[in-house]
This record gives sequence, structure tokens and C-alpha cells, in this order.
Amino acid sequence: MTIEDRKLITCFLPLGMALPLAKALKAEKDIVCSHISYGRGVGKMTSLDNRRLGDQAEKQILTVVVDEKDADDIFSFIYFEANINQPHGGMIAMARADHHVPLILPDIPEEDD
Amino acid sequence: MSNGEIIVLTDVAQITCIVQKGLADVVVKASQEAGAQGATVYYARGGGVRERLGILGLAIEAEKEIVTIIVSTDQVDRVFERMYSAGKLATPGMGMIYVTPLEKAATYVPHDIVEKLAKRTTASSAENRDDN
Repeated sequence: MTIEDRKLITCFLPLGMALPLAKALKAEKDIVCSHISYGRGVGKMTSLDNRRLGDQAEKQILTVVVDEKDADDIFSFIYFEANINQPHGGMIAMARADHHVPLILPDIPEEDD
Repeated sequence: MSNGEIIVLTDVAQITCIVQKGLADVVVKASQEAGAQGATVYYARGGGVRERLGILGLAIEAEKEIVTIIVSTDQVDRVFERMYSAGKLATPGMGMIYVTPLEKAATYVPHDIVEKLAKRTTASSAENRDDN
């Protein structure tokens, strides 16, 4: 089953932020499918960084596909929940996704933490 | 910036560049020289045309590095070209680069920059009013 008119939200987050965010998305927005990968971020923090590549830090990349009508709401939710509004908090971006196959969970009991 | 507002960046695009392992830093450096401020690098394994190149396909490295950069649309062409050259992407099997248009993006914007932009917007609006 393919659904059109979806949005792809990608967040570049400091290490350790992605999993709590994925849990918050599940708990508060009922989003059960998100993808987390790892990378290193490179950025210029000071004027001295112009001479070299810049500071590097481990990052997590969280990707989620959402319905178009909920996209702005979820974008804002992630922005504040993941503290992207703080210095070195990362970045969030939203793009259009032409087609998407949604994950619908079977009716199973919740796992204990 | 107050906690309740988002400064949304529009007219931005994401450049994704897949290169041979070890070339990511060169590509990032080239992008920074062209005006990009930051990048995210992660690792992957490439497959495809490499099996047809080199000796039994062994000469072409399968391990890849992926560089993701978000830049404003007016910088895209310049950054894209510099990354393309630095990654030697004209050579078959070296990787690929593409641009994804973004609808919006957001990050922390320092307070002084917000104030500067607000002043510039106010001044620009006043000029337009005077012209009219």
C-alpha cells in the first residue's frame, strides 16, 4: 500500500538525542516507524576553524516520514523536543516524499523497558 | 531567540555526495571553501558498476563515505561543483552527488543575527513604503 503526499523529516542531532526523540514521537505523536543512523558532524565553531576542517563531533541522524497534514506540527514538536533551538543542538529539515509505504503494527502487547 | 518560536529557513537544499572512503574530508573542505558552514559524514557500502571495473572488481573500493550538506539555494551550484571536482566524480565508479530541494529547515540562530535580520527587514519594508 503506497501513500502519496508525505513529508520526509530529517534531523541531525547530537549523540544520544535520537532514541529519546523516537520514543517521544511514538508516545506523543503515535509515530512507530523512524530510522536512526550515526555519523560525524563537521562545523565551524570559531574563527580559527577557517584554517582547518572545523570541529567534529559524533551525530545521530533521525529520519521519519509523516503525513502532509501533520508535517508542520511534527516538525515543531521535534524542533523543541530535541532541543534543536539550543546552540549545537543540530538541524532539522523537511522535504517532500513522493511515495511512502507505511508501517502498520500488528495488535501486540507493549514491551516492558 | 525565545523558546516558543522557530526561525524557519526556506530556500535551502540538501546536497548528498557519495564518495570513496577517505575522500569525505576533501569534499567537506571543498564545500567549506565554496561557502558551506557544516557537514555530516557517515559510512556505507557501495555496489554496482564497480564489479565491472578494475581487476575482478577489486581495484575499486566498496566502502563509501556519504557527505550531507544543507546550503541556501543561491549557494547550491557553487558548492555542488566544488564537491563534484573534489570527489573526482567524473571518473566512473567514484561515486555520485545529488541535490534534494527542501521545503524548510530550522536550527539555532544566534540572537544577534536574529536582531540584525529583523532590523534589515524593517529597513527594507520602510524603503518599499517610501517608494510607493
